[in-house]
Amino acid sequence: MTSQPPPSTCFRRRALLSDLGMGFTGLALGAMLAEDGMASETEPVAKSNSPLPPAGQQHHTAQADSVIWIFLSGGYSHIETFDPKPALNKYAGLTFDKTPFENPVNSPLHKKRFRSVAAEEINVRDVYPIIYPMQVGWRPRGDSGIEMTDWWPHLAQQVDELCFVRNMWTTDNDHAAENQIHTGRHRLDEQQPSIGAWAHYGLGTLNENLPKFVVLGGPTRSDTRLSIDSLYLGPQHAGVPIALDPANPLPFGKRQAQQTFQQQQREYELIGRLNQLSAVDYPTDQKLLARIRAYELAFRMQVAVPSAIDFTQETQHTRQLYGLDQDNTKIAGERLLAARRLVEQGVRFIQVFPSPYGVWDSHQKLKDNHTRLCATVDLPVAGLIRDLRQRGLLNRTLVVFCTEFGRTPGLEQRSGGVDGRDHHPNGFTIWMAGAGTKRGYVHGATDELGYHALGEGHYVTDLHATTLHLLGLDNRQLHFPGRKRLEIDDGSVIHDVLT
Amino acid sequence: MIPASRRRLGPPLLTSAITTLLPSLLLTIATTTTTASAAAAQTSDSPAADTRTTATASYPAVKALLKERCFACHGSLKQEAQLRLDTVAAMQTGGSDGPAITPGNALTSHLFQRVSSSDPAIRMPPEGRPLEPAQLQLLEAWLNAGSTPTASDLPEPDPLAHWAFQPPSRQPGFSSIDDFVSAKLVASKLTPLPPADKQTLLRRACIDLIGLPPTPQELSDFLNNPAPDAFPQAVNRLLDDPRYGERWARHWMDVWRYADWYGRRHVPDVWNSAPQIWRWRDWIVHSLNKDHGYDRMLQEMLAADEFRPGDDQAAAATGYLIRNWYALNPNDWMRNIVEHTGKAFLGLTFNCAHCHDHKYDPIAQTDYFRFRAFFEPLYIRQDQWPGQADPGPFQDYDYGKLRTIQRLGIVRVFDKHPDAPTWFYTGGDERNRQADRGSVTPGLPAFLNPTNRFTPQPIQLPVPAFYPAMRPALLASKRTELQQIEQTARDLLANTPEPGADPALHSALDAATAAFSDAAAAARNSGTPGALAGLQSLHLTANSGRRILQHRLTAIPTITQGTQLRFQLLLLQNAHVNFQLAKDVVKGLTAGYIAFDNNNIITWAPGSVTDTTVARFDFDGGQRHFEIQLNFDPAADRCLLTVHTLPSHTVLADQLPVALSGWNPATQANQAISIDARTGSAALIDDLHIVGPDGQELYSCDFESPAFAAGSDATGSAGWEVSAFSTPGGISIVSATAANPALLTPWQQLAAAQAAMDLQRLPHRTAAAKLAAAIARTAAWEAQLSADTTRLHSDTTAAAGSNLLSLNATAVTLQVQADLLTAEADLLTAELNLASAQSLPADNADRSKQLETATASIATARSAAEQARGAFTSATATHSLKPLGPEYPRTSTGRRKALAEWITDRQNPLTARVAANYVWLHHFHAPLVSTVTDFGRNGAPPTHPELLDWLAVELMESGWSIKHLHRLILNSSTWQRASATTNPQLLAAAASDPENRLLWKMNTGRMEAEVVRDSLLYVAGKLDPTVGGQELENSDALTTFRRSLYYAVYPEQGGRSPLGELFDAPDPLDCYRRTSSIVPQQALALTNSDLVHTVSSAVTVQILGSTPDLTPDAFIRQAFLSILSRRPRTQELELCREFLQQDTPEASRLSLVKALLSHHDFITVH
Repeated sequence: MTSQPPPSTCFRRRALLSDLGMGFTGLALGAMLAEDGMASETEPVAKSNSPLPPAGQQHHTAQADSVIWIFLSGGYSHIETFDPKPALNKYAGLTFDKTPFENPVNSPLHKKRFRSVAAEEINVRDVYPIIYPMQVGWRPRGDSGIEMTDWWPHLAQQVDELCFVRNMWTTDNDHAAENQIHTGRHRLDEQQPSIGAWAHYGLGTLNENLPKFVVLGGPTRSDTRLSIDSLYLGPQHAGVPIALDPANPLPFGKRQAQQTFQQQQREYELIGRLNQLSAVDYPTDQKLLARIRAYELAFRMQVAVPSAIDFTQETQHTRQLYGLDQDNTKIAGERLLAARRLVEQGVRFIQVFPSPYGVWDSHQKLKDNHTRLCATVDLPVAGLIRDLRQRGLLNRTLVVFCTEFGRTPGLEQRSGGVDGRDHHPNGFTIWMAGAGTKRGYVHGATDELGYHALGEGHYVTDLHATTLHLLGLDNRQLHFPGRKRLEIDDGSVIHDVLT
Repeated sequence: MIPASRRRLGPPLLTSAITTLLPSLLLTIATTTTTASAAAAQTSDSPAADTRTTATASYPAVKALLKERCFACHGSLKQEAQLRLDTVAAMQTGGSDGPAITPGNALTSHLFQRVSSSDPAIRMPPEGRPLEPAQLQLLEAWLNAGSTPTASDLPEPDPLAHWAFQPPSRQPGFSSIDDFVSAKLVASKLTPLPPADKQTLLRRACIDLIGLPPTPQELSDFLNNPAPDAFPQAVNRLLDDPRYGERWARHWMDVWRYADWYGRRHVPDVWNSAPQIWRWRDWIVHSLNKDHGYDRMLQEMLAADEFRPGDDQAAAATGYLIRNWYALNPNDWMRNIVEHTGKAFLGLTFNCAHCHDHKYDPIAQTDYFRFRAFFEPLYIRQDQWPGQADPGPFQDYDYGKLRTIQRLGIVRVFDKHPDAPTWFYTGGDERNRQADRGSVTPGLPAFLNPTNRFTPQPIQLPVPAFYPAMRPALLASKRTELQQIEQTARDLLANTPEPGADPALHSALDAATAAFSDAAAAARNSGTPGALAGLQSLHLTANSGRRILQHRLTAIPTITQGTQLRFQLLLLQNAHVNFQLAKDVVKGLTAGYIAFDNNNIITWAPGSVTDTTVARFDFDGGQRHFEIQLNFDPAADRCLLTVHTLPSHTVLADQLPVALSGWNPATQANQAISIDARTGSAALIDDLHIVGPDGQELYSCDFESPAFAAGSDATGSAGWEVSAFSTPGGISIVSATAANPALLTPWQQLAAAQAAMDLQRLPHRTAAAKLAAAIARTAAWEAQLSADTTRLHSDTTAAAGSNLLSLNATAVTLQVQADLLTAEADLLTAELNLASAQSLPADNADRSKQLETATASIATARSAAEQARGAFTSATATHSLKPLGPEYPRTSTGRRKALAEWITDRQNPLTARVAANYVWLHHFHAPLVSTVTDFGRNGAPPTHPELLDWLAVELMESGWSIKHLHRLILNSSTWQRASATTNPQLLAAAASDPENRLLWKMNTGRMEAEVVRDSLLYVAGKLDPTVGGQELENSDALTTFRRSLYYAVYPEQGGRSPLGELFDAPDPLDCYRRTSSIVPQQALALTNSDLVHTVSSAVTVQILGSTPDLTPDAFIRQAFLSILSRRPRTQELELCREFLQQDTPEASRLSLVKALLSHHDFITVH
């Protein structure tokens, strides 16, 4: 056993470990760390019947390596996007009870899928019974003939790649539903880690030099933190917001100006060697080994992250594909292009907020809002799908496009409103593309008025289960020791959307 | 698909070394094996004997399955349908439906039929998912194979016999921590490690107790102290250090879920917790430093208002309950209080019983609501804090209104609704209220309080508790404040003597007065007066902004048919001036309306709210002066408008109908007349009359002196007020010159002479008035206090009643008097300011600004003085005495007191154990019971049950002294052991316990996020030792250097400091045990952050001190001592020496210091 530091300026990990005489213990741990990039000191509260964190061990064969989870904040109208409802035009101006259909407000589903955050004695949110007609035309698109509205001219050309779920529902009737679609719980329930954190927790990394769960364009408000948080899974599994600034993309990701690359390299080397010397006195200290490893990774991450979001390597054609050359599509385009580059680099879960917080919320002037907002994301999202397909990435990348809830078929009359729709948890539409989902397919429906998701519908955790399933994970086995997950947290895989 | 890297963990590596490292991995393998054998049993055609063996072998898996899914209702906790499934014998005996199993035949076994049924009405278990196919196969195979038990098939133990539900007691023959630990080590044939070296020991103690490493001086003092009790001395010193409270407060704040206010921080809008909650944090620090018992701390957090009703410091402790406050939904508040009181104090998961009976512990769903009922009467109030302004009432939630950040005062709880019902509801959803069950009364689960000793008794509160304005500290502070004001006024008066007569000023004023009178008379005689009628008119100007003046008319009788309103108007600038019959001046609604708008006369027709041009005038052609008449026709809900010019009497409008819209100011306090000059306008108004049908003058206003002083704002005079819809820039003064600019010069000369006179006289008068007001204010307050005191203490006897009446009358009189004197003093002050502004030279840049401010404050003061005069002249009896502050219920239910007494009772089996477990956790980086919030039947068993009990008893019997526990622990050999050894024999000997469950060595731990930041700053001498106060923003945490404890904590974005984000700062929603991660981003923060750079430079400078030519070796030694609290080892010294040669001394020293701050040994507690 010798404790001489290795002579070279680069770290010779294997040599180091054998030099330190750590034998199997060290190697096993090293292998584990290599995969995980990190370690946690707190041993889970192990119990005899608790499943173990898989940490890279998929439960079944994965069809997706990565997920791009596109979230449009504020709640887009399902009716004016992906679930057109001619009956609303036919019965425009009438109340629900004057149509030939069952009055949806009287359905027991209403209470099941509509829960006010504020106590009933404090605030009851109105239900708006006067039917408001569609604000845009629609027609069948692509070979599949799926109906989309006219606000999506570019995405319509990709419709044969998309798989719609038109019978989603959630329960929060206010914008904490934005947390709910990511965590699976209503605001009044105990909060749960976000879907990205579960994916992070469940899977090994594909590129240890980058964070595994990256957030682009968010969270922009203090209360949206829950949408990327990991809570009891531990902060190492939380989403890492990355700024699209290659000069400084990551907190503390830039060395001090007065230090050169070589100087910092020498400093990291010194840290490594000093820690190796301590390992002589603490031969069984796993945390010390983890820290040595963390410093090696940190030094590489500092280089890898800026390069991952450096668009100078992209062609003019690609930049146009994402709309980087146009003012109104530039922001969404940059975030989605960054997402593709991160997928190429092996990042597991990329949560993209292409629009600012809450902008899709259209209590008033829905037509103006949606006309303008659709134009900001239509081209870039269509570009992303095309780009992923052309590069052969789409078959291993799941794209999810979603929002927190739909909008009421009835006209919102609050404050004298005449041209908008209120929040509507009872039914909304999301779509997926790529990685084992059906192409050009529609699953589920809302009723004739676009009010209730038909059948059992899909609560938001069904989307989690499906996403995790494609990543090779079984939500039901993906539990954290000592933490009780409820049935609603697990959700059910939407098998019908899978190929 | 298994990633390639994972394959390295394949079978060849599964040696004992790894399995001991990863015992959990073994578990997976074990489970897999069981499942595999079950599957084998299913498909095997092997002979019966083999089958039986297989069945026996699979029974543990069957029993585990039944335990997980069935025992909650069919075990020792409950026996639904009289059925137990916890032994094979019990299954055979069965329940009310007969035997549960038929040996050898799954298909005829009730048990199997029920769990495998496809009918949800029949299928068991009734809740949750059906059993998985593999589980059904397991069960079926076992039943088919003969349902053989294993040899020892013991029933589930009685829930009441659970270890944590028995009151703790000392085990005889054991008298120290070491006794318990040694006994286990001996039994397991484990040799403990020797004691840690002294420097490690001191650093460990310092970080454990005060959260900071020792200074080199402290280290050297300790190493050089030969006393045998040097270490106990050091422990005592650290426990007496006030930084102990700051360190341990953070631990307890994790458990008690401390959070600063949150909700929508970005708006900001307060939904959760409260902005004054930091007083609770400061109370925690204080209570820990004073070593107030843990029992007292819990009592005060739950019910300080009932245990110590008059004590403000203690009241801050109820921040514990307020932290859970959720403005939008009181059910959520209650839910969090119940869940976390159960977990934090009792180690019980009451929250499981929110939706259904507890699956493991004897807590029925009703018990959940009975527990909630202790808290049901709660509400929050905010009391004034001595020396601060009154924060006003606690803001309730109101949809559409932001809840503002209130920093003043103290928040605390009180029982607001003693009779508030607690409703039972199902499914965890308060909408499913079971009102027909009646409300639930407070109570404890029977298994924890068999004798039912703790029944709430209502508590009569002392006056300061229900009437916080009467708190002695507040009264003392108010009295001091009044005395100071009085003294200041006395000093001012003493320094402002009364001026003697100044003949020069007098004669100058006389001359200026005469000159102006002459000029005014001449102007009038020549037909160009300065005002429209009389000597003065109202002058509105809006060169920018908008000026609206209004006058309420509640003093006139109801408008009747034939009543007439008339006035004169002179336009000086032609934009938009209107006169309104205002329908509601608060809401800005109009009844009738006449506007002079760019040569158009615009009105609203009766029944309309639309502008209609009804006539035109020619401003440039000289049509600028008008008389306007409105003849009221209330029968037709209109008035008739006539406008003619002056002096030519050209009729512009003749009896045109205008909307009246029910205007009747006599009965509506918010109805008024108003005059509105919009941007670009200037106009004079005068000669305003309202005349009844019989010719009787109902109201008139001529804007003449003395009611209106020329040059002053009309606001506040004779009932005129400025409208809230005015915007800055417009003015409304009373003018004697505006109609004739030639008069302006003599007027200004007169004003200057008057100002000179005022400037000489006013200071003394003002000072005298201020003193009079101050004296009157003190007298009024004392009288009010006296009357209020009598009211609060009086019974209902007639004598007391009449005494109270007379005290009230005196107090009211004195209050009104004080108000009047104050208003008059304010008016004089304003006039003095005006005079001093007027006396400034005309070219002074500040002059116009000062004039404007002074004019405005005169208007305000005049308005207040007028009100005060009005109040003073009306009878005292019409004014009721204003109380000193709000009054709250005089009794409290005593519910929370009863609960807290039970929680802190010597017989409570849980409280002390749970607390001792936390103290242990933070000293050993691992608890004795790993499920710190669950001591119930589903929780983990303690590694050292007798030790935990002994610690719990020590805690209770020392008066719940937490410091006593620290001493016991830190002075034990167990805590003082080394955390590592290079001795291969010792290592090999301990191989059977790699997780150190038996404590053969000390565990190492990573500094918590707060300790990392604090220690970085501390070694650099940068840590700001200021204690307490309002929380600081995390955005400042890298540039300001208070202890981390004082930066904000909340579960929104920004609720952790940038370092806290990376170093596992607490999740304020739930952080009973922190995670402690090692991630690359931590390395980036410790090498790249400005903070570390600042710290490194400071440490470097500190080490070099006055000897910049320090040798490299001396520098290295000192850096190790400062940062790592130890000397470098030879190899480290060599390595660092070599490093220092690779770059300039400055750069390499700085880099070396940074490297040591990134050293594992810095961030680690060994």
